[in-house]
Amino acid sequence: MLRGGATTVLVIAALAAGRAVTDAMPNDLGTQRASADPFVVQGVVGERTALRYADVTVVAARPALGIKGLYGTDTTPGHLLLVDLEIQAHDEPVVLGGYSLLAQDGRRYHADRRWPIGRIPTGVTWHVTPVFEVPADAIEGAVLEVAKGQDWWAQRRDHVLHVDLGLDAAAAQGFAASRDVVAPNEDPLNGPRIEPIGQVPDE
Amino acid sequence: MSETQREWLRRNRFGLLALPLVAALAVAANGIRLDDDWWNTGLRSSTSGTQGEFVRYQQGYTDALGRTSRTLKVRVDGIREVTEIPQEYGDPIAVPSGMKALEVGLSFEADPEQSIYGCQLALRDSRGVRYEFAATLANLRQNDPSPCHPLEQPGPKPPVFAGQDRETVPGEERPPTWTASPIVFVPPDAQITQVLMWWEKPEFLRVKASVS
Repeated sequence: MLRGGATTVLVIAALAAGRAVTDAMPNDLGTQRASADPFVVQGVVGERTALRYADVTVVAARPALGIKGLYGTDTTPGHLLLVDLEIQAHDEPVVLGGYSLLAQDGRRYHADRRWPIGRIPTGVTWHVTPVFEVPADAIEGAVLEVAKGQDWWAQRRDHVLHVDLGLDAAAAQGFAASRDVVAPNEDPLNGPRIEPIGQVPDE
Repeated sequence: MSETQREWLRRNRFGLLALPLVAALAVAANGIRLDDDWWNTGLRSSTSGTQGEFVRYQQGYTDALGRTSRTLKVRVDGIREVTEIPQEYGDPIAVPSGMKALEVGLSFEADPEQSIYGCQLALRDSRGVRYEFAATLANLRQNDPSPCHPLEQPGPKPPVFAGQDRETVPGEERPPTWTASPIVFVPPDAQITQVLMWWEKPEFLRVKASVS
C-alpha cells in the first residue's frame, strides 16, 4: 500500500517536472515550443543568404509617402517603407507568404496586400518589393523577416530570414521626412524603378 | 534472477508483451502527419514514360460529388527551343533576356467525358530543378489555366459544389484527340531531362525527354 502511494507520487512528480521543462522553453508567440520554433538565419543587407528553399538578398530599403496606382497616387497618413529583394528559388517554385517588418518595440508589420508578391519561379533571379505601411517610430532599427508564411505554423521547423535594415536614428528621420511617390514593382524579371517619380505635395 | 524478480515478470507478463505494440501504435497514430504535411505536398508517386511513346495515366481523385478518376493517354512528341512567344492577340513577344523558352509538344487521347481540367506542367533538369509552366511570366501566353487541353474546349470541368454535374459547358466539348504546345521558361544552361505533368499531388506523370 505504502509502495503504491510512493509510485503515484513519483509519477505525478515526473509529470510536473516535464511540464516545468516545457513551460521554461522559449515561447515567443504563446503557441511556440522548442519543437516548433523556426531556424532563424541572420542576414546582412547586400549579401545573399541561402535558406532551405531559396536564396534571398536584401538590396536596399527605401522610403516613400505614395505609390502610383491605377487611379492616381495611393498615399498614407503614416509612412511607406519598401524593401527591394532578389530571390532565387532552389529546386521548385516557392510561395513566400511571410514578408514582415519587425519593429524595435516588438510590433510586427505585415507587407501590404495591395502590392501582393506571387510565386517565385526557379531558374531566374526574381526581384520583389514588399511594401510596409508603418508609423514613424517603427522605422529605426527595423528588421525584415522573410519566411514561407506569417504564422508560426507556416514557419514551423523551417528557415526564417532576419535582416537588420541598418536604419539608425538619422536614417529613420530621413525616411520619415520623405514625400516621394514611387512606382510599384511590376517587373520582377528586371527589377523595380528605384528613383522616385514625383512628390506628394504639402497640404 | 531472484524469486521476487521472476514473480514480478510473471505478474506483468501481458503488460510487458503489449508494451512494444502499444509504443509502435502510439508512433503510428502520429504518422498521419507524414501523409498530410509531407507525402501529399510534393510529387512522390510517378507513372513513367518515354518521349515519342503514348503513356497511359490514370488517377483517382475526389471532387465535390465524391470519388472519381481520370484516364488519358499522353505522348511527349518533343521539346524545342523557340525564340518568340506567340500571343492570342497581337504580335509575338520576344523571349526575355537571360532565359530560354522551350515549347513542349504534347499529344493527348482521352474520352471526352474525362475531366482533364486543371493540369500542371513542368520541366525538370539534370540537377533536379523543376521549372513550372506559368511560373515565370503571367503575360507571355502563360495565362491559360491549363496547358493540357485545347484552350477553348476544355471538356468537363470539375464540379465545385455538391449538386452540380460533371458536365461540359455547351460548345466546350473536347475532341477525343488533340495536341498542345505549352511554353516553359528555363535558364540557358539547364539540361532538361524530364517532362512532368500532374493534377492532384502526390501522383504525377514523368516522361523522359530531351530538347531536340
